[in-house]
Parts: sequence; C-alpha cells; structure tokens
Amino acid sequence: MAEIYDVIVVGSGAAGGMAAHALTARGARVLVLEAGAPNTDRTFEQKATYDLPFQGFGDPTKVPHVFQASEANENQWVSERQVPYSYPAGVPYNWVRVRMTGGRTNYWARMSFRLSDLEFKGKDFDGFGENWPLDHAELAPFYERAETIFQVAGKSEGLSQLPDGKFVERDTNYGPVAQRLVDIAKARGIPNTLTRSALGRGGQASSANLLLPDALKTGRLTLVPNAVAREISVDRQTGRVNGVHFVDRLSGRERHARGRFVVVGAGCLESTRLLLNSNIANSSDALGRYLHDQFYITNTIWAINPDVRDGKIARNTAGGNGYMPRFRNLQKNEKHDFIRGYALQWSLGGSPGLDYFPGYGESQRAAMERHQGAGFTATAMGDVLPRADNRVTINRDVVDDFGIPTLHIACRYTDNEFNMAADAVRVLEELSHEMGFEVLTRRPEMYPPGYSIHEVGTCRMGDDPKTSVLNRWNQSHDIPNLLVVDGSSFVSAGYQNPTMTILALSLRASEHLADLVDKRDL
Amino acid sequence: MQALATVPVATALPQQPVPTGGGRQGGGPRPGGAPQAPGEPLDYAVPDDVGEPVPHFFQAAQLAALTRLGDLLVPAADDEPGAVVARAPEFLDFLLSRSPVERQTLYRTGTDALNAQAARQFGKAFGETSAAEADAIVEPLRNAWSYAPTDPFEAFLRTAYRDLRQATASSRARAVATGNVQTVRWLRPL
Repeated sequence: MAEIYDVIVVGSGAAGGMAAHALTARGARVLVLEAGAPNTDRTFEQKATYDLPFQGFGDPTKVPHVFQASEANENQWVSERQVPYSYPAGVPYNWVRVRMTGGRTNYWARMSFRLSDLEFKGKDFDGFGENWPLDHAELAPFYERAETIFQVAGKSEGLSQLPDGKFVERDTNYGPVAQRLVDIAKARGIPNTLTRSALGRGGQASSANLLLPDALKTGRLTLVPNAVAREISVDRQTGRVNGVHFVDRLSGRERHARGRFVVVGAGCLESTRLLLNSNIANSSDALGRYLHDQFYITNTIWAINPDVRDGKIARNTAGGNGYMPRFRNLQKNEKHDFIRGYALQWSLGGSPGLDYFPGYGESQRAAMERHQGAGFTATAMGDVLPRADNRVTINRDVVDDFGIPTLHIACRYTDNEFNMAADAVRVLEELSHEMGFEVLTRRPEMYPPGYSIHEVGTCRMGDDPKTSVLNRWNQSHDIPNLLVVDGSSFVSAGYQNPTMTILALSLRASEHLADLVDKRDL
Repeated sequence: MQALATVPVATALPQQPVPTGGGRQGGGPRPGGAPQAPGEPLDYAVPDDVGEPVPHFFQAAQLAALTRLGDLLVPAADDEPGAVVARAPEFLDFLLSRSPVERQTLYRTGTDALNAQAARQFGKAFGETSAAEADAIVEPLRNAWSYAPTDPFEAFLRTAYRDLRQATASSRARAVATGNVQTVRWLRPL
C-alpha cells in the first residue's frame, strides 16, 4: 500500500514549488505531482532552419495561440492538439502553458513586482469589484522572503503604487537622452524606475533551482514528474478531500495517491479545470469566473529620434530603458474614461524593423538602415477588470489525450481596457513630441486575452463564502483541507506581473496550513 | 461480402511467430536479439534535391500571382537567390495547406485580388505584368505601417511580403548559394 502523504501538491511551478518548499521545511511529508517532464530533460541540437519541417515558421496546428513560441522551442509548450481548449467563435483566448518541472518559472521574464493597496483595496478606492481579504502590510513579510530567495534586483523608490521590496539594490544609469525622457515624464507626474527583476542563482531563477532542491534536501519531498492530475477525490463521509487521481503521462495508466491535505498550484486555469472536473468547492458559483489578466501591447509606439538618424549625436549615447509604473487614477478625483491604470516599459536606442518603413526593395532597406539605433518604443501593460461573465467552463464533449474533459474559455476585454490602451498611446505620443521624436507608428490594439501569461482570478479569495471560492488563507470555504495557492486566487490583477504575489501567497498559505496542523486545528 | 463480414476478426489475423532470440527468420523483421552494428555512413540526398514541390493549396492562377509577387518584392541579388529560386511560394503553399482558415482566406482572396486588379488595369494576369505594372498594383505597401490595416488587400500584401522574405531567407537554396546557413537551437520534445 502506498504511503498516505501529509500533503499532495499539484504542480511544481511558482505556486506548487513554494508550497513544497514551505511545507517540507515545517516537517510535512509532501508529494508533488507535476504533469510535465523533469526540467533536465530539456536538450537541444543546432539545426539548419531549412531542416525544420516548417522552415522556422512553426507547425500552424501545434501552438497557434502561443505567440511566444517559435519552431525552435514549440515542443516546450503544451500542444493544443494534445490538450485542446475552446473559445467562442471570433473571441480567441491565448492560453500559454508549460508542463515541465518548475512550470512556467523555467521561462518567465523574471519581472518581480509587488501589488500595492491600490490593488488589494481597489474597491475602497473606486468602487469596482471586491477588495482582497488582506492588504500589503499583511503580505509584506512573505514578499520579502520570496524576494530574498529569488534575489530580486531593483531600486527602492518609495512609490505608493509600487511598494519597494527587499532588493539587491541597483542604481539608475540613464544616458543623456534617457535622462531627458525621465525628466519630461516626471514633469507630467509620471515616475520612472528600473524594472525589478529576479536574478536567481547560477543564471536561473526557477522553482526547479530555487525551491525544489531545498525541499528535496529535507528528505520529506517526493517529486513525481509526468503525473497529470485528473480529479481530486473526496471522502463521502466527511466531505473532505483525500487524494488525487492522476494519469501517467508516458504510459496513460491511472493511479490514485492519498493525502490528508491537497494543495493545488497547477497554474490559474489548470487548477480551475481540476476543481471543476472534480465537481467540488463551488457552492459560491465563483469558480471559473472573474478570469482576467493584464492586457499587453508591445510596440505601442515606434518613434524616431532624428538626432540619431541625422548623426547629430552618437548612437551609443542615445540608448536606455526603464519602467513607468501606474500613474493614472492615483488620486480619487482624476477624470479619465477608465478606472485603474497601466505601466509602460520603454526602451531607447532600438531599431524598428523593415516592415515599419513604406514600400519595398532597396529604398525600404536603406530607410531601415538609416534609422538603426534611433528608435523609441514601449510595451503597455494594463489592469484588466475582473468580471463575472469572463469565465471558464468544462467542455465535456472534448477530452484531451489523457481522457480529461477540456476547458472552454470565454473572455473579452471591454471599454475600460480599450480606453486605457488609447490613453497609453496618447501619453507615448505626447512624450515623443516633447522629446522632438517623429512618430512612426502607434498601436492601440492589444493582443488577445491570455497573451501576457498573467491569467488570474478564477478561484478567488474573499471573506464571504457566497462570493468567493477561497478564504483569506487560500483554503476552500467548502472543504477546509483543500487549498489553492496560485494566481487563480487573486481578487484583482493590478498592472504588475504576478509571480512575486503568487510566491508570497503560496508561502503564507502553506505556513498557515502548517500552523493548523501543529495546533491540530484541522 | 456477407461471408467475409461474418469471419471473426481474430482468426483473420496471421499467427505471430514467437521470437526466438537472435536467429534470423526468413526475410522478416528482427523481433529480438542484438541490433546490427552500424555500417559505413552512406551518402544521402534530400527530398528537395530530387523532386519538384507539388502544390496542394493554391489554384494555378493564384500560385502564379504569388510567384510574380515574390519576384517583385524579394528579387534575386548578386549571388543571393530571390523568392522564386528559393521556392518560397511553393513553401507557402505547403504552410498554408496546414494553416487556420483565416490565414488561408487571406491568401486566397489576396492572390485573386492581384489577378483581378491586373485584369482590370492591364488586361492580363498578375503573373504576366511588367515590373512597372506590378509596382502600381502593390501601391498599398507605400501606406504608413499599421498593425491592423482596414483594407484586406493591404493586409494580404504585408503578410505575403513578410512571409516571402522569411521563407526565402530560411531556404536551403539561399544557404547553399551564400554559404550562410541560418541555424536555430532546436529543443527536442519533452
């Protein structure tokens, strides 16, 4: 008979990896079920592009919604043929998935921000949606420990909309053009800082090198790759969860593992799918609802610095990059046609590609070369409002390669997001004009929902069991020995990248679970 | 037919011979035993070298239009093969045969529009147009760049231009002619 584990953790990314790290440190015997391969199985070969079946364009049927994929790395994402999903006609959703030990922390951009009380207490501020059942002060100690493990580099600024963390402190080093942009922005009330980024260790900042190894060293972690969770089992007498059915990815055989607690951290939509397929934890009807993320627009603007193009200043003095955290609706009396706000990550000194220049042939190529290093561009990352009718449901008519019913994702942006995107374009144009730049292109069209890979909200926390799935400790209101610790527990996304918040929440929830076990409260 | 259908399936299958280890059994496959030692490496050719591409997606007139477009937008230069020698249009035919329907429609209506415009303006197929005539038809490429062109013909031209460039740059013909092989770090399936 296989062991009954103290805790079964589903998923080994930021959420699951942190849960395993925290729970084993507190003495629990933990089983981690990871749907993907060991991350050391990533091996590559150098290939001529013409030897790839699609000559570098990628197989159009494999991961058509993963705009981040190329034919060189398309095997690393979850194949949409193997694990399909659906969406309403004409309303695409980009579900970007990795199944691998360490999950998406193997690939993330390492942007490491905290949410502020503008997010945690957003309803108090503008009346929309719900407050989180916690605030920044309460999460701060856990942020700090996550930042220490992940070695977050950044610059302390004292900004209320972007709380400082425990940083490997960095200083800005703007060149003359960048400094002028920063000054012009500041005069308009737009702050600038460095991007905050996890350095990790040994060039890697993943659950697989920062969280799981320590957990394994305790001798209390059993880590099983290639184990695809299908359903959480429930003891009919007690109503509590008692294990997880999973399918061996390689053989297709099903097994059942037993545990006293189940902690789900499979990523927002996979966790939600698992709960929906298990038919549990949904007395609120909030499970699967309130799907949101950040909208992204890369190259929201391309502008040209004519001084660089015309050779008036050296190209190596014209570069630089930075991050403008949210600057809209920081005060209650601001008048905009949207609530909340967005961040702009900008770069000077880039080179717009051939397509941005008119025509074709030699004249087009010459125009592109003349503008080398003269570019100014930015990515807009905007707060998306959580709405009940942006939701996922189970499509029982279509099962994946493991026989598991698939997800139907209905999510669309609304005027608040469109108006915010238009404002971002306007602000970037105004900054460009004031800098004396020539605007080449502007882009208010965001990518489809999901593109940012910051999906959150479908299993949200709250104090009221009628309107939320989880309590303030990430425990199911319905089933106290079931926790969900990933981005699905968010109440609102903010404009900030979510990974640090996921890590902090998972750490906090896992230690609270360990406290309850110590006190025999469960 | 009736008789065949009533034969139980299992008895219709030949009995599998029981593997007996290393012994070779007739000319059949080797079910067990040690693999053969690798022999001398052989000198292989590749499919691209021995057969012409066979289009499946485009109609002949559409492919002729795309080929003319490729010759106009990505011409040969010095030792560098252009889109036509690189067989970029035929590659795109293959890619489109596997692509989502929106992409297929963009190309089908786009190549049809090239031919329709050439017929209207010059009384011939786009494939037969001179450089000056073809240049007049691709005028929308001179519009300021936009991510979401409202004119579907402009959207087609921009997409086709980008695809033709990429398919040419990544082609075997280009690599062989220039000695410059574009490579990628290809990750194996997990």
